[in-house]
Amino acid sequence: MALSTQNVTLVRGKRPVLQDVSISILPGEVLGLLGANGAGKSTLLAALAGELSPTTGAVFLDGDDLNDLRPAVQARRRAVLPQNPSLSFDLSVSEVVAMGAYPFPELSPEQVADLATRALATADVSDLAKRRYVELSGGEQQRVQFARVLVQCTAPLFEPASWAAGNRQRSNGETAPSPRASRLPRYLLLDEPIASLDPKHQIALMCAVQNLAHKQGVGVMVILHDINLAARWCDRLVLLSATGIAAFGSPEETLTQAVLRKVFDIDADVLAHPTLPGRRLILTR
Amino acid sequence: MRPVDDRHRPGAVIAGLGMAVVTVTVFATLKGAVDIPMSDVLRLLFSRTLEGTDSLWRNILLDIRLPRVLFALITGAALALTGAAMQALFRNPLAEPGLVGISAGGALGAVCAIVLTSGGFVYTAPAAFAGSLAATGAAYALGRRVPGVAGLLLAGIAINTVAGSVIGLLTYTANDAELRDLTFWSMGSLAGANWHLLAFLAPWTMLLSFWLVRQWRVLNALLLGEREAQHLGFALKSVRRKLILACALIVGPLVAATGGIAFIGLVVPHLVRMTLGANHRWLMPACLLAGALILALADWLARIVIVPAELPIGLLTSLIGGPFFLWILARGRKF
Repeated sequence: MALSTQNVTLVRGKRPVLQDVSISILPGEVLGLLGANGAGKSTLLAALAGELSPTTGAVFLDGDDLNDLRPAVQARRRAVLPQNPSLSFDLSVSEVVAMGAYPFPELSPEQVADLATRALATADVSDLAKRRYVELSGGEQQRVQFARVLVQCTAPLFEPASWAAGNRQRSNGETAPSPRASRLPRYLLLDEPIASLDPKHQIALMCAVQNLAHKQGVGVMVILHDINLAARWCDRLVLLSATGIAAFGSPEETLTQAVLRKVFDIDADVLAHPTLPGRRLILTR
Repeated sequence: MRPVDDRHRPGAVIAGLGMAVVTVTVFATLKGAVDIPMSDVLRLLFSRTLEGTDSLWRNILLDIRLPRVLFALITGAALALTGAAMQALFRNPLAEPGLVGISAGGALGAVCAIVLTSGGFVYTAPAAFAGSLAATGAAYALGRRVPGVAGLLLAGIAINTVAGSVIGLLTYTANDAELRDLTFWSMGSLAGANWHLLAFLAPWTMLLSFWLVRQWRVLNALLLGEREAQHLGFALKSVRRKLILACALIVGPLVAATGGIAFIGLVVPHLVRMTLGANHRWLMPACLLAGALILALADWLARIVIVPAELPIGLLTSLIGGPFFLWILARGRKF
């Protein structure tokens, strides 16, 4: 069970943007994606999101080739928050957030409202619920969009088979078992979700992401630029350089002087974090 | 900062619009160059023995007024809905069948049919549909190359120019009989409404319009962006194709029948968004009713302002819609 790329090479124009990239996002982990500008982070995310088909190689969602899954099926199991989502029409914040439930038409309006309320609270935008989206600041809009994908990856997902079984029994007049939430894992892809957030909300969002992974079992991949935030909040890291994957593993394994020089072309000291045991602290020179 | 609380309640607005549509339908059917008293309607409709003015009134009511009012309602509703759908599809509040050249494409098709065939609605409707489909595709393909409003409007200018010049060329080569057909047609009017036309256009247009109303989720998702719509589970390519096809299927035959009525698709969705916001769940049904209401009203005005003659309806909607368009541009607010 994973959302994974297998030997993915992606050529845009004539330039290979990704070369032979194999990574996997496991349920219950926060996977950080780091790399210099132009290293192919957003392209990798687009491949995992099903937007770009790999030139060679394949992307798998829990073992199924992404090309074989309809967008409606993918959307029930994987939410994506692209960079700079834009919206110039007059929708309210709660209307935008409720759109996260579109892949789940079986939910009642009350269930959707309940999910939206919780997502708004998690993203710390409850007080904006009745405001117009277009009148919010950039950071507030980003948090609202985060709340929208939260709805999408926390909406209860029922196995189609158990639905059918439930309906059959109901028509027989027997007591219908409540459909059990399926054990199919959920995934969330975030492209620089904290780019325009203040420090307080950066930490709040990373904390919410970590809770989502560790408590609800969602597999999260997040593109970050801040190496220390990645070291602090991610369970595993992928560092992309122009030639492919430079390092893939725990923050302790991947964040070394040599890797940082190769990926970012910077000299940095890698220290043990003074207050968080087992974590790393990176000081650039 | 205005919270959305200042928005009107969708249910109340839609109910109000519904009542207004009924009222206008009754008024527009009874009032005109000849006023028919409300008290006589039942007698005119159901009495078997009618003589003199009574039978004339019955003819006016049943064969002229009623099909015309119904045609105005359906045309207005369909134009407003296609406007709203295209604005979401293009993610651009200025997309409108007239502005982006879809009506011109339809007109070109219809003119081709008038000049190159024996004419008649059998030929003009499919030809207009083909023309508007080609124009929609072109507007979509070209308009996306330049981001923002500019690309779409430039594409619209180009398509309108090309269609206009070819129409000019065809008009130049037309013979006298064809010229007369062209002139009547291009003035833009609902006066051609009769039960035969309605029987052909109404079921078709209403079916597609109701399909459009039901697409509110994907239209909302498209407002967020094409990538976002796909991530919310909509198969973008097929959705896009279906929406473009539906708009062309609605607008083409309507253009063939009415000669093109501008700005309804721009003005109505805009007014409704100002009242209810951009959530298509309410926007689409409200546009359906408001479009029907406004075009029926406009047609009624066109009939009564210079009695016994009448204004071409296309002229009237342009007279109101043009300045309105300028006002939208001048305000430059978010939609």
